[in-house]
Amino acid sequence: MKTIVHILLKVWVKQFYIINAGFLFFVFFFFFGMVNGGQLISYHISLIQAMLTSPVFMAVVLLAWLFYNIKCILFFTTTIKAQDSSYIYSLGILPATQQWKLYLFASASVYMPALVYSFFIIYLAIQQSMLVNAALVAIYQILMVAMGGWMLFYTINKNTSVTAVEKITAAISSVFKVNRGYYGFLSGYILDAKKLAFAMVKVFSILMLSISFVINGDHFDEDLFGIFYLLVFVAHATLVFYLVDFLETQLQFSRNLPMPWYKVAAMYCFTYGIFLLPELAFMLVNNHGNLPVTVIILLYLTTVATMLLCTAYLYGCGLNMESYLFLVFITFIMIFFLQKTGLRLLTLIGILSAAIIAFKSYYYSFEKE
Amino acid sequence: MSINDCKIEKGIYWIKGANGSGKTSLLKSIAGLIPFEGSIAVDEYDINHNRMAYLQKVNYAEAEPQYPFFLSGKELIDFYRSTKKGNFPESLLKDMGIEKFMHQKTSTYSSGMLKKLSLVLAFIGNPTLILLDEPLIALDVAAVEVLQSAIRQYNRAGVSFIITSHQLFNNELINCTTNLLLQEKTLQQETI
Repeated sequence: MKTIVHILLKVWVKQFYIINAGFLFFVFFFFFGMVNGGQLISYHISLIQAMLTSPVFMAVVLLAWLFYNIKCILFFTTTIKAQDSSYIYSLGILPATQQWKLYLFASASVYMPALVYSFFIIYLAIQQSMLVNAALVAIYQILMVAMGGWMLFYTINKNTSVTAVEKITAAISSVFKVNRGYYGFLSGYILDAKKLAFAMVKVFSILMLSISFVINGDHFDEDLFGIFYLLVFVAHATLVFYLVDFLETQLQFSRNLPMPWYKVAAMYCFTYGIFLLPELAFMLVNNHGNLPVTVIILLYLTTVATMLLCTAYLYGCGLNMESYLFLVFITFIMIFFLQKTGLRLLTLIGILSAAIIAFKSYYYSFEKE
Repeated sequence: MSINDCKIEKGIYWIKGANGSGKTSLLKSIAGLIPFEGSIAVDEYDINHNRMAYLQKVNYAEAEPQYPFFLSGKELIDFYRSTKKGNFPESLLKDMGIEKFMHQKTSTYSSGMLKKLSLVLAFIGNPTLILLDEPLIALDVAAVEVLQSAIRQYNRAGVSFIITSHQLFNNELINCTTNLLLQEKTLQQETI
């Protein structure tokens, strides 16, 4: 039994969290990263309070958990049906009770973030003698875990090509399926294929910004912040490399499409703008008057422009990593000194102009080394 | 590779050459995928001076197409249609037998299905020149027939083709105007 648990943890639970690292990081950041550390607990108590007192709010939360559970179930069905996972069906020879235990364990493990949060909701509800609400949340979560367990049991033991659950979940997922469009291709790639790298960059960025805005919030040092913010830019330079590499290998065919260079540059800028939104939101929420809002917005725009400049570097050096890192280092030094001048708007205009000129010059002459 | 002043009229051209002679590089240059020195023009449009209009006229299907695994066939078709504009070869999509898979991600496609998708994409819009790099690779017998009929039909409508293939076409369906021979790092025309 221990060996089976170990395998299931590896092929289902660990894989689930790796594949969904970007999504989970986004949710975590939305609920925990945006709020000042000192106000985090009172913020969540107010959220839970609102949930316990408003039936509409409670219904919305229950619906969100249902969608998350459907996401978990879709992951299970896809994994089981994958060609290299046919060995999973051998679980069907175990006694039914043993199978149920394993499937409930797996279901609860991937559903764990929702379970942990609901534990606090139940605790607060009991403290405030709201026993019906506490029971409702507890029963609902037991049903969610049971639903995942039942689906696993059904899929493995019935071994049909398409299960009823798959049909329902496919129908639901097709409703929520969004056609990315050209502007969504780059972010789609990072969130699908490079989500772990993306999550690491974001954790690093928020950590850097936390040091300036939260830990040293009362003694905000603009010079120190300038260095930390440049490190945030350097971390994002890795994502720029992934994106250009992706566009020029997997999307190389797009060069045969009548798309002018400025449309490609605009797509890069749009993607960078989206990627840097968490940093922008974090700085705005945790600023507390340390920096003027215009400076924060100028910093955000300058980072987008600098990432476009890095994109142009990659086109110029034929995606050579060594040359690229050298140019990123030079840019780091250059921006460090430009920051010292305090001419933020001019810095933005200068970097953006250089980025556009370099992008236009190198885009059509690019050939991967 | 060095090609001096080569001009070809409308028709179907079969590029011949040994492995590594530069057939794919030539097609990629014409398609605008890789840079080159000099100029290439189709109709009155030069790739260096009027790139967007040129690329509306020239379509390309790769020998071994690869697409981002997270995109569906439909997303790729929508992408091509939004840029190439013009006609969509709906009957070709249907006849190739891949219509029902268009909502699936390309990561689930077999090599044959990827090839068929790339060929359908190459017929989108209003091209006057379609470049097909080894179009018969990975295709089943029925799909080969469908492709040959499409080439003949489009050619009658005024579309030219440059094809590289190590496999033979059905001469009754496709009559090549000229063979283009790639050897000694240059291109020579060989009248049939």
